[in-house]
Amino acid sequence: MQFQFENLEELLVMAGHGEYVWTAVLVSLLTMAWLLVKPLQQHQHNLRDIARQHRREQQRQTTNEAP
Amino acid sequence: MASSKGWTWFYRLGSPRWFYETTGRWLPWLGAVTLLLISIGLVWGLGFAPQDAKQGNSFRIIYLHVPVSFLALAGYYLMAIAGAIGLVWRMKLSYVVMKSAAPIGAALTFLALFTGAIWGKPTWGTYWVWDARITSMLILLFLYLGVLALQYAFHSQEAGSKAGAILALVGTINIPIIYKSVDWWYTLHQPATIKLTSAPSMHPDMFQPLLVMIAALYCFYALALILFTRAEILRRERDATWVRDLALQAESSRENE
Amino acid sequence: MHPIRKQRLQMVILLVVAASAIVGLMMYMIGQNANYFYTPWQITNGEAPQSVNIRAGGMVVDNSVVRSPDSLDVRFKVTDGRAVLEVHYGGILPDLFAEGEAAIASGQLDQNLVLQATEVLAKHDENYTPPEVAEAMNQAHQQKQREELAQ
Repeated sequence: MQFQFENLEELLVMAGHGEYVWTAVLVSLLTMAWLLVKPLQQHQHNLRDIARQHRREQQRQTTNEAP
Repeated sequence: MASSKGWTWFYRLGSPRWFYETTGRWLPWLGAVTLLLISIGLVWGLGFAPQDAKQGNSFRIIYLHVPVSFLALAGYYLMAIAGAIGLVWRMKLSYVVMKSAAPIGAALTFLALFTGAIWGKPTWGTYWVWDARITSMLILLFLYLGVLALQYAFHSQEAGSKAGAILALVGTINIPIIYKSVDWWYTLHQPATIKLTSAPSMHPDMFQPLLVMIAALYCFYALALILFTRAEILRRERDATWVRDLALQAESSRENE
Repeated sequence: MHPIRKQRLQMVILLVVAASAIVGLMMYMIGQNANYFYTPWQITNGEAPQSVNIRAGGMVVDNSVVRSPDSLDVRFKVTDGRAVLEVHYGGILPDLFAEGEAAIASGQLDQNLVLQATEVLAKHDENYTPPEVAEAMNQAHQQKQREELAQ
């Protein structure tokens, strides 16, 4: 089994079909990356949100307890 | 009545905390394996597999089109089954999995249609045709989006989950239709290359990287599903002590950086 | 199983079965009505309407493709093994269009039962072969034909 193209240019052009193949590859990889980045961002956001909410409730408690 | 040990396993599975902590350990490995398989599969398929005698290099789109299509279909069954378990056992975690499966499935179905359209132009001569296979895949996309939308349409999370689960179940009939459409109706889309009971109608040098990509997409799907589910678990269990401790821990480690 | 859960499970199964039946019926009806695809045999038998947009196709008959020297106009014949349909087309043919391969044309039938096509698409099968393998198979096939003729 060997590499099917002589050089980088041939790999990109793919005998005329390069536009089609590389567009498909690019859009697929970007979409798949988004499917991993989006939940990771949401995860971080949720943690921050919950910590903030907890601190706010703690403050409210201590203000209520203060004489 | 099934042994209590058998059902304990099942109920343990329904604990959001158990799911969160267990999958947390798997993530690094799953991530590494997914990245590895995708890299190997794409480099092999795009650069080393021979081109097709008739289609030339446009055939290489198969290394994305077929795997994402497989997962779009398999993922729908997973979403529907998760919905059914939620309906029957009222298991919150199952509903969370179902909710997570919807955007992933929708994105993969979109990719199946997109890569298919791009592949169709140099081969068939058109980006789109309303044949049975393509039309039923479009219906699948709408079903995924519908299940997603229903979850946000209700004030009560429980009602939204129930509605989503019902739509998911009603739509399951679409999957065998998609699968058999190329056999039942006259379609532009050709019949299956990978068959259940006989050898694939594809040369091994072309088929092996395809297998790698299919495995890669399965791992990717699991990874994405786990990530979405974990984020949602935090949101729903926000009042639980273990979640609060986690959030405070994360905050303090951020402050220490 | 808990009786309430059992009932819910039954409801779920009933729901899926009912939905499947309804959708299955709809798809069958749609399939019957919207199948505007006609084979050359159906067209020869007068089963296809004229002056209405239809789809028709078949295998492109060897040596039937005639290109006009001064325009894009092309004529060719397709067959389903039983009858032949003549197609006239004025656009660019897709890359995969070839004699011996399947093609689908959309357009209208004129009174001579010739399809005036507005679109021609190439159909391809589910087999994929590397060029060297296809070449080897082709040569083996030609060799076999020569041997049969020699006998």
